[in-house]
Amino acid sequence: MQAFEIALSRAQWQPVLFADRPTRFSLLKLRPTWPLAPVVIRVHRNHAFEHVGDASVPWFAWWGRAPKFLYSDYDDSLSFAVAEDTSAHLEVIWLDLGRYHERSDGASLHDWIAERIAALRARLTAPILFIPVGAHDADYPGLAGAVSRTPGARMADLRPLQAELGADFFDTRAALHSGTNLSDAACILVARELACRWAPALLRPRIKAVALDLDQTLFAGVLGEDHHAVHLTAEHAALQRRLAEFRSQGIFLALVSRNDLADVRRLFEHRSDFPLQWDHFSAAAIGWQDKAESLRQVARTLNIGEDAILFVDDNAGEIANAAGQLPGLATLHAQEDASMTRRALEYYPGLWSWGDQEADNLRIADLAASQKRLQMAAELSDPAEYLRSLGVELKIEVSPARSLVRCHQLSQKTNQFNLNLQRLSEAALAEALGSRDSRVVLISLADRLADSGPVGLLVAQREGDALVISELAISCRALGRRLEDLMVAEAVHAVLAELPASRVEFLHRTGPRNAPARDWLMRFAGPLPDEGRAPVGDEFMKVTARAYPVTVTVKSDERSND
Amino acid sequence: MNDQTIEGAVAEICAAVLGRPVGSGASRATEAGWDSLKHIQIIFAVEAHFGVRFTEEEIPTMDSVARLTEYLGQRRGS
Repeated sequence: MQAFEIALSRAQWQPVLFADRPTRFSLLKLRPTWPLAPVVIRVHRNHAFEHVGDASVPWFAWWGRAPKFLYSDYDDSLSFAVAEDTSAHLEVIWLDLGRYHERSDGASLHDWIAERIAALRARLTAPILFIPVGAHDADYPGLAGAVSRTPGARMADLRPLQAELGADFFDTRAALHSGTNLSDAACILVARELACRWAPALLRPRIKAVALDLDQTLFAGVLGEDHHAVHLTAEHAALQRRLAEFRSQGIFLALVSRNDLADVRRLFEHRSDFPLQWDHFSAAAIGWQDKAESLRQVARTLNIGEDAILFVDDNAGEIANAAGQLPGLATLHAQEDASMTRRALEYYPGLWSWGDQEADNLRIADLAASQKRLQMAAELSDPAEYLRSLGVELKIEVSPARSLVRCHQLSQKTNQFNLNLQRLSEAALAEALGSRDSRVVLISLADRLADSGPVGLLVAQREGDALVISELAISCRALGRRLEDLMVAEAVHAVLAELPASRVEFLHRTGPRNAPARDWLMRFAGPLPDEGRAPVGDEFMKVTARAYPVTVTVKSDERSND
Repeated sequence: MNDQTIEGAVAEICAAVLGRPVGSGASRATEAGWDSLKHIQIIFAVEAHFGVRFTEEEIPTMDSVARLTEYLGQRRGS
């Protein structure tokens, strides 16, 4: 099946999947005709999950996944009887807390849950999702604290769903037969959260940009040359407000429209009633060219891959054409009723985050700064003068235990400057953080134009008399300032100060897009095979901050095991 | 909605939940896979589709396409 056919088939599912209240019958009638990648989800539970799991299948399919659920027995003791030879992409703990309320007070229950989640983590490295059913409002802070003690574990919050359904959230009438106190409506809403939000946010990189068509997508009507011809319906206004919120949560917005630029600029100048204004868009490709080309242009402007873009258009033909030309492009068919488009955006797999999007927020400000940096670089031919004018501050943090989530994001999301593409889990990084012979380094960058925040990750292990760099990832936002050599060298020197070694070797692997990282390493290690281990010589070891007009600070104070 | 239409819709619901075609004679006794968990999903789906609500006592007795069709037909007539 061709990509354009898949995009069209997926669009046909939208009215069912993103209805206000999807029904089990309408969901289960959907059968995907496109290829799906398997995702194994193991459920540790003390009440039935099947009603959630079965209903989640169409939403997973829409994301391109075929879930396979492995169920434990009903086990109040959470003994985690797991077959050692079966690995899962995601471990779900599905617990009815009502079964414990009479037996234990809140604090001891929270401590027990923390201990059980830690016990599961000790055996498995996959992300852990804890879904408490029947938790009292007062339980949530304690439960959140308990879950946060384990790396790579997250807690789902069912309170918004409970508020939405009110008394219909539970159905004790059917509990005897269904194996859970949850109503069918609640199971369906949980299924939507699982497949559209919780699981994607744990298992795939976040979408970085939403590229939007204008006519009939952001408003009703066609712009042409008359900004009075467009109508902002209440639903379109709500859609625009939600898009502005996404931007404030670190998602780039871009315009991709077949119009004249002057008309579009005039539209935004005159329509102060639009919640979205021209400045909300970090990129705009407006003209009469093919939209696939416009999307490539947006990707270049934002310095992101085309597969990190969600393209929203009311014209199914445009969606099909773009999907056919740009592998991995996410697409959404804008509906005449904009509330449907808004709901589909709310639940688009990969847009929602666990609230750990600090780095995403920095990205938008950093993009604006990068335009100014390019201008300065062009004006100042002396690299030292360029860096001096920027006032660059480089921060090296060894063992940054409190920044585990950001380390994980860098390993997962970085494509171009990622030398070994290990895609480390939070659990694997936590293990490296706790190991005596390993070090994790977080590299942060700021200048007078913007605080780029944490932009680089290095993971190193001592093996005999060698220091082996097993992971090196630098966000593309940090590239182009001619500081890659210094960032890596300072990180390596900081590790060598704690783990002395007589030589340094980098593990490397060829990926689809990591040529920049490989080109960098070849400057110090010579030609590289497709994958392997490359020693670097004196030229690399001689790179020091003394040659750079940059302020460097090194911090190493978060190790908990030493 | 006549009995035939109701029966067709019920069979379609059962087929969607069980994941395979189901005839008008299908019941828990004849359909492998129509276990207690699938049964409650069929009940929930029928409730949502027809706008009815079974009592706790009725739930286990609605164990075939025919029984569901009969019940829904009576409700239509009442």
